[in-house]
Amino acid sequence: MFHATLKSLWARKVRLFLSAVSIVLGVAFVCGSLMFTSLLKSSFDQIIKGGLADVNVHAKGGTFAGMGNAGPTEQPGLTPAEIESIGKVEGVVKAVGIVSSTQVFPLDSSGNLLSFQGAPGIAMNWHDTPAAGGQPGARIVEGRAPEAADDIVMDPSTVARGGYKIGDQVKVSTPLDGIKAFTLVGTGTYGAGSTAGASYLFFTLSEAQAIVQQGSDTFHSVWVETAQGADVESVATAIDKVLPEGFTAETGASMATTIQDQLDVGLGFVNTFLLVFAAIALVVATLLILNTFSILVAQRARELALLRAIGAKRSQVRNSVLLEALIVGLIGATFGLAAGYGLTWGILALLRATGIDLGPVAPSFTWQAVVASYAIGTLITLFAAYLPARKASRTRPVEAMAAAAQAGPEKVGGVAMLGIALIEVGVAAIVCAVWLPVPQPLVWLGAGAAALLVGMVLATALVGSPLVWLFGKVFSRLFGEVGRLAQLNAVRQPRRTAATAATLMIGLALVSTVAILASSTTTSLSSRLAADQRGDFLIAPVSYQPFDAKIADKAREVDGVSAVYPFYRGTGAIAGTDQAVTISAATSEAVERATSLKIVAGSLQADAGVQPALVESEFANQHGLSIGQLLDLKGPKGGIEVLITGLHDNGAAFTMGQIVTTPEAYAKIGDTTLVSDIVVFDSPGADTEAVRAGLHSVVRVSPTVAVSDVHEYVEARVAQFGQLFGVIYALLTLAIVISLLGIVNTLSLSVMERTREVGLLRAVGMTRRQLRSMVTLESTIVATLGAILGVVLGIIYGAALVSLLSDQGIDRLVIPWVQLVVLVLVAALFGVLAAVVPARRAARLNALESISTQ
Amino acid sequence: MSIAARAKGLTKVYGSGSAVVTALDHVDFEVNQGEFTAIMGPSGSGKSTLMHLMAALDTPTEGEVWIGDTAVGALSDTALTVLRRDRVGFIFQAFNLVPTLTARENIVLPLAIAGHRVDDAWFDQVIGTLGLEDRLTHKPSELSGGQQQRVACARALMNRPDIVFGDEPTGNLDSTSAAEVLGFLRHSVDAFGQTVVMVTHDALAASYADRAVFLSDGHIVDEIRNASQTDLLNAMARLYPRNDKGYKAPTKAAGNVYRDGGAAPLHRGAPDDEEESTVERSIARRAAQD
Repeated sequence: MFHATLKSLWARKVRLFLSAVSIVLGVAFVCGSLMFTSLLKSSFDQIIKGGLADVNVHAKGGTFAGMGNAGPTEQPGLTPAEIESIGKVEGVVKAVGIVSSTQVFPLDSSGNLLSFQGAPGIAMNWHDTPAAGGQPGARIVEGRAPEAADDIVMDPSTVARGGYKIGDQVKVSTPLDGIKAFTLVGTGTYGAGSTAGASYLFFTLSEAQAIVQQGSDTFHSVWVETAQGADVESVATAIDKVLPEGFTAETGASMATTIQDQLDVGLGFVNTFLLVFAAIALVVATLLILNTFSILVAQRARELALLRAIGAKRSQVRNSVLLEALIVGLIGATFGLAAGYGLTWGILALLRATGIDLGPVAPSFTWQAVVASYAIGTLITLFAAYLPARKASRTRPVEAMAAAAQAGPEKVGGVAMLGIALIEVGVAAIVCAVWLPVPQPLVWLGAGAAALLVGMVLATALVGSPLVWLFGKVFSRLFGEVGRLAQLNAVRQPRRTAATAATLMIGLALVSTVAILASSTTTSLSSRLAADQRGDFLIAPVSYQPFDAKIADKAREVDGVSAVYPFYRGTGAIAGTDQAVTISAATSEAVERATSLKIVAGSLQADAGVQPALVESEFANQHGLSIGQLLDLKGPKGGIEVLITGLHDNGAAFTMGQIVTTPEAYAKIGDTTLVSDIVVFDSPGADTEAVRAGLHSVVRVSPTVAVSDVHEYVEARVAQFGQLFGVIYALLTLAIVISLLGIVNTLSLSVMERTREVGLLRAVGMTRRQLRSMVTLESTIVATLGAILGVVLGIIYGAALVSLLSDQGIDRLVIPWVQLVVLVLVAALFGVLAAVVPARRAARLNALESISTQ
Repeated sequence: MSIAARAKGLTKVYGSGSAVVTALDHVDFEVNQGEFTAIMGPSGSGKSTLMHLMAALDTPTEGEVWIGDTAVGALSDTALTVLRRDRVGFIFQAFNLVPTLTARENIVLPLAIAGHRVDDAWFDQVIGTLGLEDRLTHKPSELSGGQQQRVACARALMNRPDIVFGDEPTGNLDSTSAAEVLGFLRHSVDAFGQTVVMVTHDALAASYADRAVFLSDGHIVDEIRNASQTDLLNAMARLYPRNDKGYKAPTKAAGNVYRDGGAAPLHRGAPDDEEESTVERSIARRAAQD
């Protein structure tokens, strides 16, 4: 029996191949997602590893050097004497003071930023003290460490991107001194060298201090190496005791955990997305495999009957089918694993091309990926084979051999009813999420969306039947009998058609959700930006990092400029609370003229020597603050008491934060040498282009800063979202490609199954061309059915999501009808493409041979 | 009497090298208009090949086929398909209907594919003759074998073809259903002047024909007109003798006649046994010859 199974498998190489393909596709999809997730995690793990000392001393509330958001001189400093005292603590081998900044960016030879947009340019003084656990810390890859003041060492990937060689002059944009030139003396990096897009720049200590804090001889943090065998925890406690107020000592291990947690929150979106993706991959894979295998076993009904007739037991027949499924499943899973590995490389390459270098990481076969692949490959295949195998083994041999190879019409059964029930539950949950004040509406929406999707997959046959009927009407009007036959073939096995269409439906549901989200987000954003933006020009950083305040002074000198309003922004706290608040600062005139900030009550006017402040009304409500109250603000530089003189509703284009105060007050708590944005008004009648040119020449020394008019600013901000959505689209395209391959597969098998019918049709006068049309139209029906159902689902999801996100700035629901219609048309077109091979195969069949096929 | 289809020097060779089988060897054959022709012969005699070539379902290795005045060999695949669709009707032994279509839809299928109008009067006449009036909305899976084959007959006649080809049309049917189908074919010749060519190895089926042509090993070996079942059986006995070693043909004339699928003779091995001409017998004989 085993031998017969193997023989039969080998004799049907084409079918074997097609069924394995469906498994390969499904498995590749799932294990690719899993491997990519673990790859992402290991990449960030590597960044942390080697970047932490045994004991790290840093300001309270901050993170380790270079990863914080605080401005350079906002941070309080440790003196060399204090660091020396840390070095004397028992168990400490070496304590190195660190000066760092995240706002030092290397430039390429033509003066443009070498860093990726939004990624930090991390500058620090060079030191090669070992990292936590004796692992190498910063290390020189090539060349030597910086020794002279104009020496610089950069990470290898930034050097490669800039096309620099050791010995070249490298220009660097600094936060306080504009552009400075250095000599590249080497390449170096932390730990394994993955930077996740950031640039690392190492200088000598005095130069780092000069760049970051105008030469003041203090340090932001301390890198402590402990003696071998020393208890790191107790050393950290001991160090803590000698530290001045505001600083804390933390072990590398506990910091790694903290950072890991922070990263997990940051990566949460990516992880969730990939997991949702993997779950969807699983559903698509299951549908494909179920489909293919049930077709295969149905086709083998006669062969199995013959085996029964010559004496095989029922269990033998059933086991033979299951064995075949197991073999095909194992083969498919193995190739799928390999394909998934390739897929991960592909995504990695794609990310590299878009500028996200995850460092020297390679996808690896994690046990989760391997187990999942084989589990999906074999279990789903076995499950898919079991029902038809049982049916085949129960059929009496004579019946099966006498019956035509053609399977009878299918009935849509209880599964579809379950699907309808799930659809109802899903819709109810979505309705609750959108219109009822349920807690956690996003969770309700997620659960409802999942139920609706699964329900639709199960009930596609039922839900889709009116659509298919409509197609039949349209197609028979357009293509005559051929169109009608195509429609009849599409409904011949409703479950098979439904499963095939469902894969496409899932892909398109996601794509249209994203499309609606994208168009709603960009429209909301741009209309808000355009409505809220004041002034003629905006000077803003390209990487969200604050920039040199001197630019504001220079901008004032440009001809034709009537007013320049700098805005400051930083993080601080209200005394007595631990919660961080965003504090913005601008003059009263700036707030009125250059922002659309709505002041609900009061104003930003100084009164009786106390600096005024505006508090966001909701925040004030929560914390019981009211006008006339004194507020004790604390920031990196110190504290100040301000008087609440008004309430605002935070409705500005760029978020002002909970507290808005004056630059004078802000100078006491934060760094006023750096600004976050500058709004420029030109004088009436001034030549706009001349003003623009003037401003451009002002910012030329700071490549991290860009001048834009209101329109350009809006465009640029919206374009950033476009990029994000582009990446999501790319991933979803994969899902659609796989479901199209699924259509090819199912259609090929269906054509094989109908060989005799094709022969009959040819004999009674159907031309090859008509036959090709028939197969193509059938494919188009399946594809368009999936597309339309998917787009409908997508509209529901997208609309629900947008309505839930309305309080997060996405207040306009924009359904991109044209785009959605194009999606359906493209899906129909792909349906035509998917039919090319099966249709050609059908048309090539010899009428005479086909009709005599058993 | 005019010629509905004609074959000249028709040769068909299958396979290559040492496995060459000559199914037809320079056969000249004419089908008369308005006549019911039966092509008879044991398995492997070339009768099905001849019909397939005549019906333009297959291309000859050598020779030429005309349907009416049209030389089939020169036609492209599409032209051939159109010729089959408009001028030829088919009835196969099994799997004659498209399972997704109702009986009515199956009957008008060739017309629908061609985009031609259905002649309602003709449709009603054919359906009435076949007694299919109350079966038109049924799917093939809801019809008996005989009903399915009658639907196939109706389809074959629906486009008023020049010629209807039947490939063992009664091979899968019980005797009652077979009689209905054969009776209809006979009726279509007599009442509508239809030309019918039928391949069969069944003497009873062939007895409905005006003319029976006998094939053996790729040659036409005999032809009988208006033969009775007994005549045909005798001819078959004469033309296809049992020639295994050590067997002597009995001299006794034919007595009882058994039809395919009928009751088997109780006196197995008796002298008149050889008159029972069945496929099995032919296969056994040919196997013995090899």
